[in-house]
Amino acid sequence: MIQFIFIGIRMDEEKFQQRIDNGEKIEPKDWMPDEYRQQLIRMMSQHAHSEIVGMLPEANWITRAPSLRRKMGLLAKVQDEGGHGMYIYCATETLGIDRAELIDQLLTGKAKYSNIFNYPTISWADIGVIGWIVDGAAIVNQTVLAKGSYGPYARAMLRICKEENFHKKQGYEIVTALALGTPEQKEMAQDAINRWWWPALMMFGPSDKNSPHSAKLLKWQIKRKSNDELRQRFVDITVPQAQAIGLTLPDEKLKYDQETDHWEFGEIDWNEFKQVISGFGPCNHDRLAARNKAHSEGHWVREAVQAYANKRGGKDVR
Amino acid sequence: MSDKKDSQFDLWEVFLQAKSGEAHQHAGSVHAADSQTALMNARDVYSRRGEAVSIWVVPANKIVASSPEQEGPFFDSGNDKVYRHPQFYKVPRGVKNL
Amino acid sequence: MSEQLELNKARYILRVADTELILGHRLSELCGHGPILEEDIAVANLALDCLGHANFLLELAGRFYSPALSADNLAYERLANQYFNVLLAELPNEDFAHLILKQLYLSIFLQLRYFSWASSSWKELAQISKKALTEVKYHVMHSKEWVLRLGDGTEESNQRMQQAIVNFEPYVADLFVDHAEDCIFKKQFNCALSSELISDWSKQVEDCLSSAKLSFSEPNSNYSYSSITGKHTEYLDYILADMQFLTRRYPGLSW
Repeated sequence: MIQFIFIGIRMDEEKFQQRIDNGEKIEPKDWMPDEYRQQLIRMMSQHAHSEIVGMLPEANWITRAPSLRRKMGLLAKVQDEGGHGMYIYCATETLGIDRAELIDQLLTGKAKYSNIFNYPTISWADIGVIGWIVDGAAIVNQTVLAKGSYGPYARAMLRICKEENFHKKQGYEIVTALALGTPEQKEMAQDAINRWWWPALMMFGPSDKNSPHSAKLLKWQIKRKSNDELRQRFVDITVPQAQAIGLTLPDEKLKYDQETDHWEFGEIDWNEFKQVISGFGPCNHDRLAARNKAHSEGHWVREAVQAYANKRGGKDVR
Repeated sequence: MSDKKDSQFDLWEVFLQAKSGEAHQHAGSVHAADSQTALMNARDVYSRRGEAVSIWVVPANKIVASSPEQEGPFFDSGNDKVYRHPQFYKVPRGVKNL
Repeated sequence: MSEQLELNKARYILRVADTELILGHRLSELCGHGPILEEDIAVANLALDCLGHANFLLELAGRFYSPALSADNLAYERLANQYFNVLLAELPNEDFAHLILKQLYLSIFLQLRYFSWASSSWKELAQISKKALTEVKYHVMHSKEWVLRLGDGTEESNQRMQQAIVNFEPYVADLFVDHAEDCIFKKQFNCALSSELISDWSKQVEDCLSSAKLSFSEPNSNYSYSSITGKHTEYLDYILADMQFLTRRYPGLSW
């Protein structure tokens, strides 16, 4: 009996892999291996958490944005990140897990979020640099994720990619204004890129040979390109953009290779990555504390909303 | 587990009508405890860039969907029923409004 | 004399422009810290609308200075005693109840103010007001719905709303104080006096609060401290120190 079940599952897995190889999209009600479901939940919820936590370093400068245009632009961008988190939470919920549980995993430290948001925004220039290279790195990643095998995630990525373009442009515009401004403004921009460059490269994750999940994710087309490929693409796009506005990147080994048409770059300090991702970065504690504070201070609000709806017998309240 | 258990409310699916006369299309979901809040949330989350002239929200658990196993028999593919397609029929040239 | 009239026009517009700016600034403080993800996004929309209105009105007000000033000049280079926003806008978001109650009070107030301007004979002001009205209408609806849910939710939410009502009491009468400019432009363009807005405002607020099981009391004119001449609460200086930090440190630069 068990043998028959085993054969049954093998056949399902083969059919499933064939669908993936044919470029078909897997939808919520389709059969999927349990590990596919679990990997997606892990990856998608991590992505959603990153969007939400990622609001914090940039929201830090909304009240101090130095013009009305910058203030409104930054507020709209941070609002978008919240929206992106929401789209991805909703897509994750299609895999059979509740948003309340996902949020709980974040707040209790069980779930991870992108390491880049454990760094502080200590000048206005950081806001420009984040839009330009952190969103820039995310775009490189997300454009490829939009071709992934899981329907709801791919669709969420398409929507996000459309909105993300203005984020990068806005960031680059801010950095350009500084780089072409007074010496103090230029120094502010250069200092910011010096602090954010290496953490941005780390966003793509360790080299795939050191990445435990990569092989399966590639086979199931949850990932479509390797970490190293995406990182290289990001470097190739970004170096000329820095040169165009007279900023240098903090890497002495950065060199253009005419043969490969790629920018070679130096060794990433993976010890720093490990330290930060293990919870010892500059802002890990404060990011989670801020999210926990918002959540616990909002508890009475959520209770009130539910109580009001319950008093009216459920959903039809007008 | 965080010390205060609470809900993120029910899930609602959101459909937007981009322009008058067009069909509503699925845009995504929101969480809300009641229908008025669901509508307001849908407006705030999904039509910030003027993407909609009309919004529908439906509790996610009220949506009835065909299942993947029904894909074959449920959706008569029509590929072998060419008489449903205009190209199947030959008519004299030059006759207008056909 | 005509230069004075121009400055009067600027001052008159600034009462609302500054209110929208400071209110938008306060709302934007919630971004990333809201009680529900959907509401975080919704409040950011409210803030963006307010800042947008402020931008248009500041631009208009700036034209009445000689030489003309930009919206950014006005927002980022005036000190607290040159601001004319209503006192209520400056109050901090002590909790979500305070934020929502402030929204109720100010969105209804602004709707009445814009409605009067939209039907006045001051063309540019009417144009800006008509556009603002479509957004402010949504703000009024949003705040009424939330006041209902918080007032008639749990005992705790009701108490917090009651506390906000008490805390805001000293600042409500300020909304309806008339200054010289009110009288000038009532005559010239038929813009309603601030004091003429009080009965519609009170009726709407009372209707909403009583449906939400909350108590209402008429604006108390014994609280006569008003920002109409540039006097403020202690909060405004902190708001401006934050908002203007970069432009004070590096004056006259482009960003």
